[in-house]
Amino acid sequence: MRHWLLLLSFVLPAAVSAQEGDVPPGQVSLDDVWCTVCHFEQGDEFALSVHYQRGLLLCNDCHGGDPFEPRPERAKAAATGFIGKPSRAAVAGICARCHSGPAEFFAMGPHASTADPNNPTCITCHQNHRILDATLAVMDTTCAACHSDNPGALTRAKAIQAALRQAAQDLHAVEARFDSLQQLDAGLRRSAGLLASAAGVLRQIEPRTHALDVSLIDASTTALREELGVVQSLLDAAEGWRQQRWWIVAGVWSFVITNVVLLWWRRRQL
Amino acid sequence: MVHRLWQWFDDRLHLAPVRQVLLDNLRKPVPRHVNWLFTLGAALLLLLGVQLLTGVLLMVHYKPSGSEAFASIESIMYQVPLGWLIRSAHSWGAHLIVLLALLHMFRVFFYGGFKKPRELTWIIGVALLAVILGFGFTGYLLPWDQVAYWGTVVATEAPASLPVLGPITREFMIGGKEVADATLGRFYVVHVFLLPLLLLALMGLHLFLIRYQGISSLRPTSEPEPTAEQLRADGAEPFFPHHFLRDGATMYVVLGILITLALLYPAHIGAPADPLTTPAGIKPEWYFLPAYQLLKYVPEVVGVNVPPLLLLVLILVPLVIDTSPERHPRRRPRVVAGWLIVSALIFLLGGLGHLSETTQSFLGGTYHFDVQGMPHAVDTVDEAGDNR
Repeated sequence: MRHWLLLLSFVLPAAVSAQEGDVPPGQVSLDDVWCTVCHFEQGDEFALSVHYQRGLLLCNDCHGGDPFEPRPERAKAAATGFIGKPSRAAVAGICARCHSGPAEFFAMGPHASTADPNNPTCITCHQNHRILDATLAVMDTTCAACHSDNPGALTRAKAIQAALRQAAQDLHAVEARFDSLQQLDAGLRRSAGLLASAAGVLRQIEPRTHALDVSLIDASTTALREELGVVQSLLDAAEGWRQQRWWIVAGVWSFVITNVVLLWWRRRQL
Repeated sequence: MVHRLWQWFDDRLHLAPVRQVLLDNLRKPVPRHVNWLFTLGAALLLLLGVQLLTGVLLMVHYKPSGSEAFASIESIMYQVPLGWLIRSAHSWGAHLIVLLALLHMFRVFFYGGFKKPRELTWIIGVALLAVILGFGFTGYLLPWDQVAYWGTVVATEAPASLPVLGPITREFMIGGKEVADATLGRFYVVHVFLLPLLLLALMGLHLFLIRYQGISSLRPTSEPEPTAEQLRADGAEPFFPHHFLRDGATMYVVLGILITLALLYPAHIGAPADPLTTPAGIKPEWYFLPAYQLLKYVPEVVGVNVPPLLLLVLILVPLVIDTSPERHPRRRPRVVAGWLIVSALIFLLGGLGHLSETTQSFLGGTYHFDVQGMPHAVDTVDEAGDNR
């Protein structure tokens, strides 16, 4: 039996890899991951996930075990930390190992209690194996999946999405203005830190989405707008200073022309 | 008041004869063909003065060490009152000096002003050009940003390719195996002390010879130089105040251009120098672009020797290359044609150097210029994703 399994193990990973395509840079080929021999459907999904594509995780990072051990009893030995399929209560803790911000705010939100079987866990919205990049678009479908009969919840979700989208747009608009003015005024480089700080504020707001609290998002985006306002005022000053320079140039040339005319007049008098 | 002060000095030092000699020289008539092109030298004098003044002001805040140079330039740009304007004027002044020096040299060449008995004035002028280029070369490194650092790395690697003495020459230039703190120290001393000393000495000699010998006429060298009386009879005006006022007008205009450039296009400062990260598209200043581009077409050992040889050729212009008695450009067409062809080639090399490794759009198409400066049409992709 073990020999057959071994033989099969050479054939199946090859079949899986044909579907997976190229191995992302910095990532291990799933051909070398023995879990996918049996769990090939999960392997196929995981191959498409952002965790695999960015070379971040393998099966054992969430499930424990040794993915490079061909013998199942050793791969799933207690010493490898194998936990198998995580329980509902354990999911948030596992995700929080890397995504502490979202987990912190998820715990503050209405879905926090895992005792309520109707509450979602992280993987309900973000999927388990085929985990895609977390964007606001995730809320387009996932909220309505449970709350189609609850217009209040959907309205809150839409309000959070709209506030965050507006904040991102405001930031990009200031960044674009900064880039265009910076090419003309090197002095603005000093303000780059302020802009980076504003971008950092937006990154800090994003995990707060998981609290599903509109007032929290509003307070956070107000803080972002204040940071952007400081940069905007610097950009306004730079633009104003640029216009003032043109006036100074006009003054300089008035002085030059007056003196050239005077010199020429003096020369004509000789 | 001025008169009393003069009297005080004259009573003690008997300066009246010296004053008379100065006035006689300043009032020497300038030939009738002298026009606005003959004011470029005065404009150069003004710019060199501006460089000296702005350079001294920059020295107050600049710190010539690898760990402090970049931060001190940032401080000059962003904290020192009007520091940005002083540095920008210094930077633009350097560009304008090279440009005006080249134009001045062209003017002297075309009017045959380098011919006997003014060969020495020309040779000193060529030496001044070399000193000006030396200022540009050493000053380029001082901001200690990425472009400055890597531009100097590339520029100092070229001499290393010379046989036997090449590596030693490079080590002597940069003070070690790599461009580092020692290089900055050397370049700084050369830039702010040795070259200014040399410049002042050569410039003094250049100006003395110009005043002493007067401005060249257009007559052939086989004929005697016109005397002051002959020139006056021919309707020539005295240098002072007539031509001096014209010089003054040009100086005002050049100063206006310099301040305009410094105000509207302040000097750039890039990322701090990082010896471990080579940025893409490192190029020297525009006046070194022809030499930079030439190195791509010919073996390095040849390319490295061409620019110094060109300076030698310039020195040989009055001594060997153009020794005919004629001054008027129309009467020495071969030499003028040769000068124009060489100048066009240098200009072409500079243009190719500027375009190389860039993508430019013109005449409705987009072209990528490779390392050699050869254009290749680039397919552009429109928003629908279709190749055009």
